[in-house]
Order: sequence, then structure tokens, then C-alpha cells
Amino acid sequence: MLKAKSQSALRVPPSHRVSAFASGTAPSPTPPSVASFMSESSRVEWATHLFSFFQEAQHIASTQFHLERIRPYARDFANWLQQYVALFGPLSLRVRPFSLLLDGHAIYRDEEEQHLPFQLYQEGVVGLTFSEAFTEEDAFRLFSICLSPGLESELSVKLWELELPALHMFQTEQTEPLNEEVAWEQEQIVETLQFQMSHDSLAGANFIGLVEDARSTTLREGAPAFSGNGQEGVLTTEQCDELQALIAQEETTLAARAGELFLLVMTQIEEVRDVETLEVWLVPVAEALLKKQAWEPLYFLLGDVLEIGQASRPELSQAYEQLQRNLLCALTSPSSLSLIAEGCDCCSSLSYGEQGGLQTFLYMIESILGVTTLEALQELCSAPLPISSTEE
Amino acid sequence: MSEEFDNPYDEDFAFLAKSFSEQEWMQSEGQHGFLTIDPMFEGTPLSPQQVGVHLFETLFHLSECFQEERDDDVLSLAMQTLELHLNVLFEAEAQLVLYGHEGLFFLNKTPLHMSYQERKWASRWWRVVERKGLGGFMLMGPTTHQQSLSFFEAFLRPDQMPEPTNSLYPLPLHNAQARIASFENEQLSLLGASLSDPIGHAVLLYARLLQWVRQRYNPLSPRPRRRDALRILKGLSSLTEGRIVRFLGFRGHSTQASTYQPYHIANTAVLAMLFGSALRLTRSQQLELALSTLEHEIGKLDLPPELLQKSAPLSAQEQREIELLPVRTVHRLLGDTFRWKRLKQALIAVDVGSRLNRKRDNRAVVEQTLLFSRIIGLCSCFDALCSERPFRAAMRPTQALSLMQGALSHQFDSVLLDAFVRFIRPAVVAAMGRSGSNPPFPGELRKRNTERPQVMQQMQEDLRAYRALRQKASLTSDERSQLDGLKSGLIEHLKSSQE
Repeated sequence: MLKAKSQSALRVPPSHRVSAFASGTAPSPTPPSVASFMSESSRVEWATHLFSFFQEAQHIASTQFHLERIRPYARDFANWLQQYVALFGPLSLRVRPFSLLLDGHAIYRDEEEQHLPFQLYQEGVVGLTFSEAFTEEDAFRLFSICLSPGLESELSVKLWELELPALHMFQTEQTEPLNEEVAWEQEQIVETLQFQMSHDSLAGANFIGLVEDARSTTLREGAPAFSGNGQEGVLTTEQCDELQALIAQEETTLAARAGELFLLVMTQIEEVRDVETLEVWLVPVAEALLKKQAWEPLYFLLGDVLEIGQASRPELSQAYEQLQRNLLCALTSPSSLSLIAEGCDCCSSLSYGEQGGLQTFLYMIESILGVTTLEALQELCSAPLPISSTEE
Repeated sequence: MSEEFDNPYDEDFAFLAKSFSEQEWMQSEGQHGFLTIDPMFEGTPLSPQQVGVHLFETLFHLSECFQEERDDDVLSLAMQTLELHLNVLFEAEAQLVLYGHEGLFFLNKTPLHMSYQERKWASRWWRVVERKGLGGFMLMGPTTHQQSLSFFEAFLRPDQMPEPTNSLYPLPLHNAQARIASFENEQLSLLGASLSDPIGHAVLLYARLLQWVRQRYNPLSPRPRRRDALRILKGLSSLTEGRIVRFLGFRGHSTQASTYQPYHIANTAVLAMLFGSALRLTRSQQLELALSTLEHEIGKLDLPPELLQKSAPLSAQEQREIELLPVRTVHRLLGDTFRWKRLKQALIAVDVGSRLNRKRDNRAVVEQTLLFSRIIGLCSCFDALCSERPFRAAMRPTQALSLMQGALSHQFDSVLLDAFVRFIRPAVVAAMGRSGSNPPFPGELRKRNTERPQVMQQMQEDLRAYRALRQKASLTSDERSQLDGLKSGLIEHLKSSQE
């Protein structure tokens, strides 16, 4: 059972004042001498109030999801959690299908299948502990993950990826009984692996380090040890930073690289239906390039479609023509035209390659979609379009 | 925050209420469901967990009957079903405690697995019970119709408290809560126990990963969920975080592609993730790297299996098939929908594949510049060299590293290669002195008993006869005796089949 910290340990930061919350009147901070005798019911009330912020944010996320709208609630959550931890210590909750419990009392309830806590329950999470206060940013990240619709991976995995030092999850491995066949196969595999490890094969060395202290391993083998705190590792700190910078840079050039990938795919296409599948892939990539105003890669992408189509047999050529038309239609929607107009207005400040890309893109619009689209675009621009006249 | 459950006939229950109207019930011949006892389902005895769920459904419908003040065959037959459930369970389990709180339900110590909808409506109507300060009931002996009727009527009505009978006792809510808490504590200590054997835990996670890969790369199997792979990888990463983990992979017992390929992919994924951890990639990046590794050869599903086995030089046509591998991989990964993560995986997969093609072909291919593809290329090469193939023997790790640092070094990023050598060194050192060969595989380690319990023809016939009699509006005394006889016979059959 959680107990309040000793008097000497209780610190309610002077800057930390309970503000009036939208959902109701908040209790005043309690002086340390009283706080040390806080009863269990008060702790439950505080925890319930803490999660009322999450509840409010959940409601907003369900009706009109916009990350910034939940930020104030995340801030309040962080502030309130800080108070709670200062008064009562870590907050340890049990996860139930439709509620979170503190000492057997439900402090948060939600019966929606896609919401916390059912998401965590069905992933085998049985307990959650907030061991210390969150920063506002950490709370916002937590809220963003929990309240975002349509996660690709499990919520528990996404929370783990956040690497929040103050959040601990206790998760069982198996949430449903295994199918008999699957369980049998698993058993067989484990026996096979253990057999390999028990013999004098190389597999016998697998995972041995898990039961040895890192320090002793270093001293015995004399090899540079990897340590979690990064004091010594396979790369220097500078090299690790370079890696992270490279990863970040790769993310920004993903769409441009995709063009090269799709060129590879297009060179191998032999069926009309494969060209139709291409459209599903190419449209989001082209739109992303347009959004980034990456004119040169965009031109390359559209140009590849044109060239491959021209080099293909007649029925494929027709399919490629239609593909190019559909792509250009998607890229000249009303919202996209504004983006193109922005690019046109600052064309003179673009690099040579980007200027060429933009001009050729405009030329494609004119030749395939006609002058009407260009006229609509011209109306949005503050200067003449940077396109060579076709008459020239 | 707590939701008041005032109207039991909201749309969640409308379907159930409609499904079990009197007329439909009378027509539900052979339905495996809550108003008919079916101790055998397709020849297999129901588990206590399954009967527990049916028990819940029966209780719910009893509560509906009491709400509607029914006093007819529907109530009577629902009660008979409940009694039979209880008596059958009591015979099997020797005691019966059914309890629940806040959406969790148990039969003795077995948590009842329900679908979301089942659990949701069970939670709602169970609040009627909880509001009275009750958490369930206990059955300490066989019960009679009159005893169970009076007990359950009081148990299920919101305004009555059940009195204990000779065999039925209401369970206070705090007792139910304590039992559930005890179960949860047991789960947590089991969790602790598994983590106190980290090697065993790691082996189990690897086994599950291998199973996932086998299923993923089997064109005849349904596609496994990516979420399951992510959960396994997360478990491995959590287990190994911050520690020196030696890992050189596991090997299949033959050089058949169907055997070695899953091991190769699983080994490469684990190596890549551990290497990524050593490179201080974030957790999210480690998972992305490992997942990309798991699927980077997915295009092989479209290759003729004999091509992967071939030890002789490839023909032009066969070479062409190999060269089409990246395109096939892209199709498999992107499919009919588009996701940016999948696009990145496709780029990584093509990058990794292009490294092999570069020497053979001067056609324009994607430049191998993505960081993850370089990491995967390193790990994949190392594992492949240390594995036996149809066309060559396995190398020792030291030989593999020498080759990678020598003749093959132009294929790799020099900084990453040096880092990889530093990373893998503890494992290579640990493997020194061990023989490089796999132990002679002892064939099937254990034969599985594939004989299922035979369907008891007589029991099936008795069951049909029992149902036919129960559906009758009124029974003669002979028919009543026959019904009782069939009932005790079914209980005996069930008991003996479960022993």
C-alpha cells in the first residue's frame, strides 16, 4: 500500500500552485504536516482528479483531434502528477479492461475499445507506475500517443518507444491462450534451441552476457564494453550524433528516393494492372514532394512515368498516359494550386535545378491538362508564371 | 466517470434479447449456445474457461427473465441450463467460485477470456451485482432447482440480497477483489520469475520470433500480424538493453532453404537490433531496423523454391529471377495501400538487395546509402557466412570477420564495419574453443500425441435425445425419468472424458 512520504521529504515547490481548472475547483495544496497523514481516500481523489485531465483530452481527441488542443491538459496533468508524487510517492495503477485502479478504486474509466485502458489490457499490461513527475513535454508526448487514432503498432510498444524514465509498464507475455498447434510448435523450437545451446556449438555462447555483469565482462575479456550510459561504446559520442543526423536527413529525402525506387519498379512492369497499382503509391509521394516544394524530384518522378510509358508497348503506354493525367489532376487540386503558386512566386530564389523542375512541371500541366488550369494558377500568383510559352 | 446502467435493453443487448426470444430459442436446434448445455463441441470437451463464459451468458438471460417477471418455459429452461452448467462444473472442479470486478471475470482461478463486446456487456450488467456489495457466488455442493431458483433470483435482482443455501453462497465484493488482486500479484511474480531467468526468456522470445518468420515466409500460411513481431522485438530489446549481449545466432539442422532461411532472417534481425542498440539508436529506431530486417527478403515468397536450393551456377533466366527480387519485395511490402513506413522498408530492402547485384550488373540500381540498409547488409553477410549453405560450408566467426574486413570490405561502410567488429567481438571471443559444427540433430525430440479423444457416439446420441426432451412443453413421468437418466449419464460421460 502506498504511504505518504515522511514530513522531511515533502516538498511542494513554491512555484507550484494549483490553478483553477476548467473542470472544477481544485483542492488547495496541503501543508506538509497534514499531508503526511493523508488518508487513502484523499490519494484516490487526487489520482482521480489527475486523470480527469486525460479524460477531458480524450473527449477532445474523439471529437476533433488536433494535437495542440490537448496540450493544456497535458500541462495540467504534468503539474498535478508532480504534486501527487511529492505528496504520496509513485503512482502505481492496476490496469483493468475498462478502468485504471488505485488501491482497488477506479480512478479512470473508459469502455471504448480503442481507448486506454482496454488497449493496454488486451496487450497484457497489468500495471502502470508513474515513478516521478513528468515534464510538460513528456506528458504531451504521452497524451499524443495515447490519444492518436489508428496506431500501427501496439500502444504498449509506442509508449515504450517514448523512453519516458518516469513511466513503467508491467506486461505479461501472453494475453490469450495459445492455439494448441502453435503452442506445440513453440515448445519444439525452444527445445531445439536449448539443445543447441547445451552442446559445444557456437549457439552455446548466445545470450550468455545476460547473466554477467558488464564490468566483470570488460575486465575479463579486455574488449571495449558497450554500456548503457554510453561512456564507452562501439562508436564515439560524436559518431553517434552523426548517425542521428544522417537518419534525420534520410527522413527528409524519403520522397525523393522513392522516385528512384519507382523507376526501378516501372522498368519491370509488364501488366496494365501493375500500372494501376502504381497510382496508389505515386500519388502520396508526389503530393509530399509538392508540399515540400521539391520541384526537381517531382519533375523526375513525372518525367519517368512519361518516358517509361513512351517506351512501352501500346496498351501499357496508354495506361501510363492515364497514370500521368491522374497524377497531375491530384497535384492540381485547389489546395495544391496554392502551393504551386507559392513556388512560382519565389521561383527566382530557387536553385537552377529546382527552377528547371518547376518550369517543366508547369509545362506538363499545360500540355496535359490544358491552359485552363494554368489560368487558374495564374490568378493565385502575384507574378507571371515562370513558364516558357509553347509558341516559342 | 462511472456509467449508470439503467436500461438493460439498449442496443448492445437488443441483439441478444432478440436472438433469444422464445420462438427463436425453440428453433435453435443444435445451437451451441447459452441456453443449451453442450459439454462436447465437435467432439471436444469444453474447457472450464469456455463453460464459464456460457455460464455468464446464462446468468444474464436469467436476469432478463427476472426483469420481465417471466414465469414460463423460458425461465424454467434457462434455470435448468444453469443448474446443469453448475453441476457439470462442480463435478469437474469440486468447487466453483464465479466472481468478477471492474471488467475481469474468473471461474475459480481461471480468468475468463471474452471478446470486447462480451466483456463490455458482462461488465454492465454485473454492476447490478456489484452495487449490492457482492462480487460473485460460490457453489460448495450439488444444487437443486428450488435452491438455485431462489438464490439466483435474489442474486440477480437489484433490490434483493441472496440468502446462502446448503450449497450456494454469495461472495462479498471485497472477497472477489482480494482474489483478483491475488491473481494479479501472481502474474506479476511470474513475470519477475521469467525475468530472473533472462537467458530462458531470451530463448523463448527468439523462438517466438522464429515462428513469426516461418509463418511470414510461408506462402500457404495466413500473414502474421506485424504487431506480434514488434511485441517480441520490444521484449528482446528490453531484456538486452544496457548489457553486453553475445549473440551469434542459431542454426537450422539442414541446408534446405525452408529450414535455414527463417533462422537467417531471425538471426539477422536480432543481430541488427543489438547492433543498433550498441550504436545508441533510439528504441523506436531499433524496432524499425529490426522490423525492416524481418521483411527485407519477403520478395523471395515469389521465387521458385528450388532456385534457393540450387548449388550449381544460375542460368540467365534464374539470374533474372534473382534480379527481380527487389521489385517483388516492393510489391509485397507496399501492396495495394500506401504507408510511408512501408515505403521506407521497401527502400531499405531494395538497398540491401542492390549490394548483391552491384557486382553482377551495371544497370542503374538504387544506391546503397540508407543507414539501416548498411546495418542490415553487415549483419546479414556475417550470419550468412557463419551458416552452412547448399553450395559451401559454414565459416567460423573469425574467418567471416576476416573476409568482411578484407576481400568484401568494399561492400560496407568502413566506419560501420569497424563498429560491427567491436560489437561482435565479445561473442566471437566467447565462441572460441567451441566447435563450429551443429550438434547432430536427434530428429524429433518428442513425438506429439496427435490422437484426439474419439467422439463418443453414444454421448452424442444421448445429447440429442436430451435436447429433444427438454424442448417439449410438458413431459410424462416416463419422459421425466428418461430425462433425469440422460442428464446423469451425460455428467458421467463428461467426467470420464476429462479425466
